[in-house]
Amino acid sequence: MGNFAQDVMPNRIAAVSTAVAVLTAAALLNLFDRAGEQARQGDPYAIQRQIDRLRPVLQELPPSARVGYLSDLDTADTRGLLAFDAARYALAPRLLVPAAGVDPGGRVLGNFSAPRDFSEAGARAGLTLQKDFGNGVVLYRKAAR
Amino acid sequence: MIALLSLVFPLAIGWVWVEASAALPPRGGWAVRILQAGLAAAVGFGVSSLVFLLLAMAGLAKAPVLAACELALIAGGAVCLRRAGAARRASRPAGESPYRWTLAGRLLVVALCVCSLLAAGIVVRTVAAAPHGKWDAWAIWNLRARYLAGDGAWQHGVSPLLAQSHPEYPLGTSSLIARAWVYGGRDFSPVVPAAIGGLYGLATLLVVTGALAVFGGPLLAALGGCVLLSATGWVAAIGTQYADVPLALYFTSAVVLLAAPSPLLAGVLAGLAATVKNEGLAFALVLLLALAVTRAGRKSLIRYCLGLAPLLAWTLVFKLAIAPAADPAFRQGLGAMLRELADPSAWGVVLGNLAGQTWALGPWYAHPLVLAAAVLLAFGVRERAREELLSLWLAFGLMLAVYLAVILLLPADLNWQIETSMDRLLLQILPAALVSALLAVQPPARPVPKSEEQAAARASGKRRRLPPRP
Repeated sequence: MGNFAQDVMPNRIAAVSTAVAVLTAAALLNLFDRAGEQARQGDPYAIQRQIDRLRPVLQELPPSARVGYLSDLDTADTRGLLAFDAARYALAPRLLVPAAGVDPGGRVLGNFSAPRDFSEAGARAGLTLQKDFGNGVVLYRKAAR
Repeated sequence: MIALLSLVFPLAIGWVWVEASAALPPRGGWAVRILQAGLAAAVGFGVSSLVFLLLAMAGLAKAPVLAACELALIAGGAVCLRRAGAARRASRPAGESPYRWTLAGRLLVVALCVCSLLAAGIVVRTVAAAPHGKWDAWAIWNLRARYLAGDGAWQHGVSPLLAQSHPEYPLGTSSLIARAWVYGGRDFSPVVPAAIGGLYGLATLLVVTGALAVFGGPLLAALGGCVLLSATGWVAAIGTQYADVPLALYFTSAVVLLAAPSPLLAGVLAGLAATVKNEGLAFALVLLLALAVTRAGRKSLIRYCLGLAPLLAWTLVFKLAIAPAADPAFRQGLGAMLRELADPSAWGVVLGNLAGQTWALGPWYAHPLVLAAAVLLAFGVRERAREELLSLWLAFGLMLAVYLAVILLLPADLNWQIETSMDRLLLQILPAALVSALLAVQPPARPVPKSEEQAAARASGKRRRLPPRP
């Protein structure tokens, strides 16, 4: 540091400048490693998987449609809310709303986490099964008044 | 690819209008260009997002219409620039920065470049971990971008049926993403919001380093850049695609321009902050208050208000007529709000967490506030810094108070609210707070205009060795 510091700046500035650069690089290297670990673990929300899973439904619904939502997961829980938000994102620009918010005759997305009798699950909510896309994804139509 | 290339238009809009506004110091060469590049992103992204939103609302959000509007804005800026150019060039005595490049400055710039590359790698890895962003990014900002980009579906972005996705939030960031998606054929590629988040982060770094370079030369600029990058919480946030990173750019730009002082453009940028998040509106008003109550600030007040007024008016129109859903904090009535604010135990919890979250902004061995304090101690503080920067420091204090009050007022569980929002709120003001603190330092070397130096050399009759050129 000797001549370098004396020639261009006071010692204290040289020391602080060196420390700032070295410590910042160390902090970033540490974060770089942690970010790599996160990247290896993948998306915790599995959004791309939801987009791929719901893609077949998109062809059945016009882009500006309002679509209802029915699921076996309660949206009051984190898991159910995550499933609802992910489905809403995957279906956008279609507007996904709770099934009660759809007019009679409107379409309702069924998004289920486990196999079951989808027709019966829909009937309990006043919905008629239209199409089963597999993988827990179905499309209903809300009964007309 | 076309979606990403289309971002050149807003950058060009920002570049010509920042230049035409004559907001930047007439001298400074490369340092001014760095600052201008950062400000160009802030202005251009803000203006383009606003233009897109207006076109979407009018049912005209098609790529050719957008391109025509943006090219017209570039051309308009170029015309203003041409008219103002001759006079400005005549008044600009020298293009070079008055600060000399030293060996230490060069070494630190190399260190900053290495740190910036590391930060870029972190952003890439963060995006790789969650290509659609973290939860709020895809559930709020990118979701609404999809609505805005959808043909004839923009109203979905402000529908009251989006109860959990905050339809009352401003649409600035979402509009910019939607705009690029429209150029790209509405393929909703997740690369677009990720790249836009990265550009906002880069622009913030450019504004911080550019402002410090103009003010104190390359050594201080590189140090300031390193101090900002030591805020690993901020670096990690860039890849999350949250709107807090764009907001941090607008806060930083407004603060730097008030220090310049260029209050008119500072007002515009504070107004653009209000189009990004509700906290931006609070910051614009807090800055206004801070300017009004300080002696130095009052000199800038009128021009700041002139810059702010149109965007403030637009924000009010948006809030009252387009997305009138009430913010949950204000649904509970005045009495309940006052009770929350008067609860000392809640304040204790919030203040305790504020200290903890502030400490979590960076690692213990390279905390940005500690590094900034070390720089201030090493360089010393300018005599007039307090007078010149008091209004900015006051604004940060007020903004912190606003953040804490809003956390208290929101009806959600206090601990959950703190856990999910306080770190992001602090990241919004961190870059601006760091740059306003570092603008107080005594520059490492007094600026000596080269013309004066050469004149002195001629006068003394000696041939002086000039410092190396950059």
